[in-house]
Amino acid sequence: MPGYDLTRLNAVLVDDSPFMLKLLQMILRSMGIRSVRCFRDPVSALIEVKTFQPHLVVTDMLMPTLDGSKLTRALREEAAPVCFTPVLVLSGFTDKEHVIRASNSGANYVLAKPVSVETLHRRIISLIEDNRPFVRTPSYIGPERRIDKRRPPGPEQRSPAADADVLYI
Amino acid sequence: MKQVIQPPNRLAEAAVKDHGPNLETILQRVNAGIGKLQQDYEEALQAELRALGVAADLLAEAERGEAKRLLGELFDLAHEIRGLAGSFGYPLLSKIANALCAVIERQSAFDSAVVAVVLHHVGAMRAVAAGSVKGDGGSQGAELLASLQALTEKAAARPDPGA
Repeated sequence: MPGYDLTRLNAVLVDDSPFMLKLLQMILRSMGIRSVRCFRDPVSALIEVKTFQPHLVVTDMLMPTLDGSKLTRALREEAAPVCFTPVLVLSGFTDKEHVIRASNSGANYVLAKPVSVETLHRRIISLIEDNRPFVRTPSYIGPERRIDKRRPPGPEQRSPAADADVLYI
Repeated sequence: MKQVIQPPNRLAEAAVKDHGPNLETILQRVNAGIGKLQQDYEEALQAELRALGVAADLLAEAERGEAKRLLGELFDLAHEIRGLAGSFGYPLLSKIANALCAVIERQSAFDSAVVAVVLHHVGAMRAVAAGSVKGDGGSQGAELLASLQALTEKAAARPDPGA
């Protein structure tokens, strides 16, 4: 069954590791996203996002100068439509503190490294098909957080401390 | 005050349903892409492992202040390896690097026992890389991870020298 044609999408990748950037760029291009701009410096990425207005930002969590959480928070504090830009945070940390920090910054999803192609693709499709409302409060700006406490932790919703592949926020 | 806004779905406006590659095609493309990147990664990994070895050798002889800096350096290198090695066929290396990061993160003060655990992890990573162990390493890989875990727990059970 065919999937989505993503050739018209523009994406910005932010990671201080040049090799990770290469890998992620190749993965996004394999999905059909032709325009993928890569940044090792989150501050430059932020400037670019404000002017280039990509459809999607994929950022690493741990980076010097500005980590993934701060970058996301900075984007969320921008004027519309930049503030609504979907953000996927990739994190080598799956401990509760880091996941909560990324979640509180307004990220759409926090994905654990090494991220699988299936997971990344599934999350991008989720962003297309499930446009969550945005919530603005004095302490939070970002997509409405849905944590269904009735569901037990599974592959899509695990406790933050678990060695999770995907952390649904 | 809570404000709820329905943002425009720019992603959905740009994406065209049923006209793109399915997951199988995407995976085939990614596998081909990884094949092309593999050689570059092998070289980058060897450089990181060499740097890891140098930092570990210095750590073995280091004083308290220098040890802290070296542990930070070791963390950065291990963090890089854990994020990428799994994608290039070295999941065991990625798991050991992840364990090493956890050991360094948990350390609250300079502790010679923890330094010994760090050195064991680095040694294990170098051994795995020298043996070009791809995949999870099978039962030997599991045994290696279990022994590193046991060493870590033993060191953690000691009274905290920083307390």
